[in-house]
Amino acid sequence: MPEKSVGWASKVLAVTAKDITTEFRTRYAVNAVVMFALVTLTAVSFALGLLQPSSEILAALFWVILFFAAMSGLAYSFIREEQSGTGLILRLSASGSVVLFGKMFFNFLLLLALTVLIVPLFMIFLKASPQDWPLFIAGVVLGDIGLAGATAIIAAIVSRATIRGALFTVLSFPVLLPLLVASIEISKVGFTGGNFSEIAAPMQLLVAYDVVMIVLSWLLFDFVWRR
Amino acid sequence: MDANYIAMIVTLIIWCGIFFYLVSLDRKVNRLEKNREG
Amino acid sequence: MWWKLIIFAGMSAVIIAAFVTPSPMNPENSLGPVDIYRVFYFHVPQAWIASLAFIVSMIYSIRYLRTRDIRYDIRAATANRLGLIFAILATVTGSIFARMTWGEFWNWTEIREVSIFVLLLIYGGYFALRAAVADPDTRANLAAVMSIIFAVAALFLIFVIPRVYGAFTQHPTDSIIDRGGQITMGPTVRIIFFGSLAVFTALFAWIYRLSVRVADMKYRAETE
Repeated sequence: MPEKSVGWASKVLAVTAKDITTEFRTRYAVNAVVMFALVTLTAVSFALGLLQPSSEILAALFWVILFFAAMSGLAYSFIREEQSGTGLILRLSASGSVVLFGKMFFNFLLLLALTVLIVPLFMIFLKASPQDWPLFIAGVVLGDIGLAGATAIIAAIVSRATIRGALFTVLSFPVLLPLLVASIEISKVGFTGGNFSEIAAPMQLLVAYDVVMIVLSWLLFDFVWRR
Repeated sequence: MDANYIAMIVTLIIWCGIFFYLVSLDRKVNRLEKNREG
Repeated sequence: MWWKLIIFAGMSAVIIAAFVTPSPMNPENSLGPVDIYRVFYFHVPQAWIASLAFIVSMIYSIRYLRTRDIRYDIRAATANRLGLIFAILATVTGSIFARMTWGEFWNWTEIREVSIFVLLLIYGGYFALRAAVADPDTRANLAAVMSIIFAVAALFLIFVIPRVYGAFTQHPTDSIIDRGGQITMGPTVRIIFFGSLAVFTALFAWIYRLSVRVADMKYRAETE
């Protein structure tokens, strides 16, 4: 019976599934991401006390929390491979794009889980309630896609460095700036409620950014991954 | 003395310093490159 | 050798003209001593060179990825080293200019200030990455890839953000570009300004060539 070739998508999901199972065992990334987000949220809420920030500030705070949580946990997917020595096997058994998209998707799921956790807490602690839910959710999901999409290759780059330190954050921040600017703008309108024309521009920017960064990562990944 | 003239003189002095440093570097590199050929 | 003399004469002429001719700023628009605006003749070329250096380095980075010839990586890193120096100069002189024109040393909604700062972050990130990788070939690879990613992200920031933030530049007119985006320089100012731009570019080309020759020699010395 002829061998049925495994589709590209199922290979990608296999990489993602493997990352998830590893994560279940060690929980490094989940811990880092969740704890960082909770701590930041608590600190901000505590510091504000009775002050009720405006929608602009709320949107900015929300994305600051997400950004720093992402910085604390999204690099693990690649660094883990190098540290545990499984990188070689991965390089041999899967093509570059499979690895990249598998881990990108894992990071996206991680961010999604974090978002689901943080949004309710954010609403409770900071008394923030989005007036336009679909808009807010769309903005956050697109932002999560961008966060995971743009940082995957950067995480791969950092995993190949000898001294890592804060390298991931230092490299990611300039790259993520357009995403942060657009997402904050969209979230702000999500909080205050408004019509679509207000956020048409940032929305287009965000979608374009997500697509461009993911495609760019795909084109460049082999240079980073292959020795 | 007009502040403008002072600033100008200072800038010119700094520029001359930079320029002559570059020229001497250029000469040094020329010499080293010739040594390699030889 | 004569072109070096031209550079010398040209820069000297620009410096003298910058301080001898009337200040480029209209006294009614300025918040401080009008003479401080003369820094504008030097600030804009610095920012231009900082960006040019990054573009040069990007071109060499792409060439490196295509050919794996380490000499292209040397050229890319050298260009960025120079670019970093000019970016620092540009940020400092730009901050002074901002204080005089708009009343504050820094403002995140002014797209020009944001872009030069992001350029500084990019240069910082680039050298942080280079410092963190021990093997020269890996370092060249990763630095080249990172350059391209930075460049694309920077393009997003510079060209698309102003459209997102409608009233991004709420600043009143300065001596270069007014509300309508037209250049409002007088003829004298124009000559000195473009002269300065040309001289700075020539100066950069010279320093860059020199640095590359030094770096090439160092590389050859190390690999023999």
